[in-house]
Amino acid sequence: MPSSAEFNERTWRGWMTFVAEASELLAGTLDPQGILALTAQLVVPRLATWCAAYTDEDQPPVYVWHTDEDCSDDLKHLLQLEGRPPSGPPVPWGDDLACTIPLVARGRELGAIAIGRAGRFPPDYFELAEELVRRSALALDNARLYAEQKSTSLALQRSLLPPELPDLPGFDLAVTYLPAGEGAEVGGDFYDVFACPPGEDGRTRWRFAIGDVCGTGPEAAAVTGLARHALRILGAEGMPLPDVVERLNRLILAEGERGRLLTLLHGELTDQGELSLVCAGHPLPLILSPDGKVTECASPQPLLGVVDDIDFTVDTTKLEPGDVLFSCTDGVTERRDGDVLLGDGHGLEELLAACAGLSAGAVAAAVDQAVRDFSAEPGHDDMAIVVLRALD
Amino acid sequence: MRLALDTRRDEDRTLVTARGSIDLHSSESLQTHLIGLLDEGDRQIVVDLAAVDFCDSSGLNVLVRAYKHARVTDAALVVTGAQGRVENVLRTTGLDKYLIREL
Repeated sequence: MPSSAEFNERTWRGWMTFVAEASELLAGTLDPQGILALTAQLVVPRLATWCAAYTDEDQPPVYVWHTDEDCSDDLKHLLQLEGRPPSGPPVPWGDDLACTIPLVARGRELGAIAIGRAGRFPPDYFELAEELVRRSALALDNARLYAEQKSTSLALQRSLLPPELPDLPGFDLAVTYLPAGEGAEVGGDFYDVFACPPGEDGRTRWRFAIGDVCGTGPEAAAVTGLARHALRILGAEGMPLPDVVERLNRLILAEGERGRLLTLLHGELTDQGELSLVCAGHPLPLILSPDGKVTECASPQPLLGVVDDIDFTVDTTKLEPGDVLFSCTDGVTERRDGDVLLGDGHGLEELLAACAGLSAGAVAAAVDQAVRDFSAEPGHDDMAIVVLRALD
Repeated sequence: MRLALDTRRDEDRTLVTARGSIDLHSSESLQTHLIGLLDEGDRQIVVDLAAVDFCDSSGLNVLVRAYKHARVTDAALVVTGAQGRVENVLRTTGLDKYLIREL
């Protein structure tokens, strides 16, 4: 027989392991409902006979657990009739000993856990339950903070993309945007399409852009916002494309340490299908002809945010009926499966060639699907695609 | 694939040979290394990328930072040996004009 001291030591170690494991389980969950369910399962039956979880003082408990499922309804009824047991150490309540432990983290009350035991309620058990509830409250607060960050990121992300796309008579336009990760971080990819004042020839014209700011998070988002608004404002002023890109480059450099590298394809399209393009360090745009031929339609120029003395030039081409202009960010071409990239050995060109005759939306969807299917691993980069097709 | 860096000094010139992939996981070690060399007073740095199979935008960012840091400290940083995907990405981003030069 082990001595009493030794036995206590062992029991104590067992509880320590229990609390450590419980903490790990709680820390691994970011879903509030899951945290409450987990807490209840940790408390019942090891520490208590039953347990009720509250997220709002004036509302009935969101969860009620009892070791004997048949007693669950009676317990709910009693809780409704009597209200929660008092806070503090367990006191006689109904046929049991019971108490309520508030869920408090970082000074904020997030709810409460009521627990009860038939028969004796050893003080150690109450203290352990308090400890578990404390950790559960921290996990709940972390989940709340995570949800807040996620919704802030989503709002910021949405603000970096155009509210709506203009109607382009004679053309078919499709865009795809896929943020990387679980949405808690803002990505650096963006696109835009907007109408411009008519030029001297009186023709309707639109401008479009697709860009990739190096890095993620709010610092990258600040540069994305700067770029998108600068392009719109300077476009509305009728500034020629190369001048717009040059101006944006200087704006980014003026941000100093806060500046980020930006790869950008900026283009202008007239209602006659005439295309002007400035490709500043961005993956080169491609034109897919109805016969399946794929050609690069711009020449590489330096990306923005490096040096300020760049003379950008414009490449011109024409989108004939049935032609598709395809542009994307490196989230497409650098999609990785082991050591192989989607863009290796003209991978993207081959993919596009198989899309001949499809609508803009179908081309974007086909490439999107190919990116997803390329690897079983989730992608770690954002991805944007802009497809423009001249109607037959 | 991880990134291994080997540094040799030959008179005024410092040759940094990189092997592996320059991506989100490895770019910081390259940045620390290159900026460190410049801060220690190395004036002519050649980064050999012949054995680098991949360089993403975070890698390009590091090369640009080091290039800019060299310019303000009156030093020079160039890249040599880029091939395959790495050569392509330097060409597409127009960085070849700044980074691929004779010292």
